Amino acid sequence: MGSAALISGFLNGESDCHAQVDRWIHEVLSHRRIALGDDLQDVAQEVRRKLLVSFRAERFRGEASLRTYVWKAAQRAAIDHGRARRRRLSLPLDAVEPPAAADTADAEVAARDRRTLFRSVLERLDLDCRRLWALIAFEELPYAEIAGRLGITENNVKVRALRCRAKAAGIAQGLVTSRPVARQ
Amino acid sequence: MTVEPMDCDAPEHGLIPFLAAGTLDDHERAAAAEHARGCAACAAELEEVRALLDGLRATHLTSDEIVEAAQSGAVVAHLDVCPSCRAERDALREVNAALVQQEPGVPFWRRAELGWAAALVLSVPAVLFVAGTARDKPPVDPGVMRGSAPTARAMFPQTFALSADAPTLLPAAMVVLEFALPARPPGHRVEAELVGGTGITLWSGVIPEGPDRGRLVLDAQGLAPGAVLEVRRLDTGGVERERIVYTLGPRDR
Repeated sequence: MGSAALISGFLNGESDCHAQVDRWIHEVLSHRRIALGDDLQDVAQEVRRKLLVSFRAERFRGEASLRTYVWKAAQRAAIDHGRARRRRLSLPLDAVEPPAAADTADAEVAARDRRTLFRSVLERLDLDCRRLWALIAFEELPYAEIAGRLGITENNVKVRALRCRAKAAGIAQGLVTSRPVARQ
Repeated sequence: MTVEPMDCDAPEHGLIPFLAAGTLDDHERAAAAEHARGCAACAAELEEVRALLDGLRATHLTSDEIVEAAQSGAVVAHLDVCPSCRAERDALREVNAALVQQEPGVPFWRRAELGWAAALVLSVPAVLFVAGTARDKPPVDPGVMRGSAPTARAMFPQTFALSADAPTLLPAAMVVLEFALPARPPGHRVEAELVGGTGITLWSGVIPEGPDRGRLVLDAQGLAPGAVLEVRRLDTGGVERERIVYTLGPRDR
């Protein structure tokens, strides 16, 4: 069956088309590295919903095969689900906020701008500061372990963290005000 | 965001970044939080660090970017410093490898390499050159193992519409080829040779020891579907013991 016929059948709710798309979704979601456990059917449903929206909006342009397109949709959903699950696990129950009613385009643009800004900050920081703040922010290591990793004293880690924070702020300020910022 | 850290000589001042990151033990967390409540400089620093942490944590790759990085092997700076994004990318790479293995092959008559095969036939001088080179090579040990199915990935910044009727010369652009290497017993060396779609050797050399994956960054000029990368393992006597052949096909299926 060709892609167009399959999409059309999927949109019309034809069972064989849904079964085919489901097979592709499960090829990704049932992989042991995805490890969805009891959430597999929920994520599969989310992939179907996104595909429905996507097919209705004619976003599938045939640049890759439909199978690859479905695989990628399933992979994105699995990543998003894993992140949401980790966020939930790391927050106490009373700190979990209800999901926003809808993601606005403005919020997406703001998030993208913020991401771009701080990626630029990270790139412009010198290597020592970048490594240090990566260990603090991404690996969430205590300062004693960071000292061990970097081969410096604990006191040095504390001092550097403050200095590098100030450098990062300077770079961010320079970028926001559009002044050229040299590598620090 | 404040550029200069404000002054405070208390030992708790140095704990502020780790208080914000949530990585202090109970005793230190209580002491630092208590101090920050009564110290304007540390309270301000705490806000600054929180702003930086929020900003840095917003730099995580989006799920779209993770999926693309897993598929294309694109080099993304954030992956160098973020183990969680790296773990997600690596998991998807494994998934992709499994998916490729179960994907049915393209029918012979629809393979894009056919057009390039025709081009190869027409490039007689190049073929003769390659054949001549091959004659000079030592005979292959009958114990040589063939490598696994091609897994090399080419990262093309743009998409090109390739015609089966005429060869398409890719414009000058950098591509990254990533490929698995054979296991390397002590003393063995690994060499590779990349032959472009028209039989011309684009690169050859020794793959240095270290990672278990090879990586070539090169100009895309002359690299076209039908290009072949051969990775060879040679023993201490220079005898070829293993060969992996990667063929570069169309960009996506």
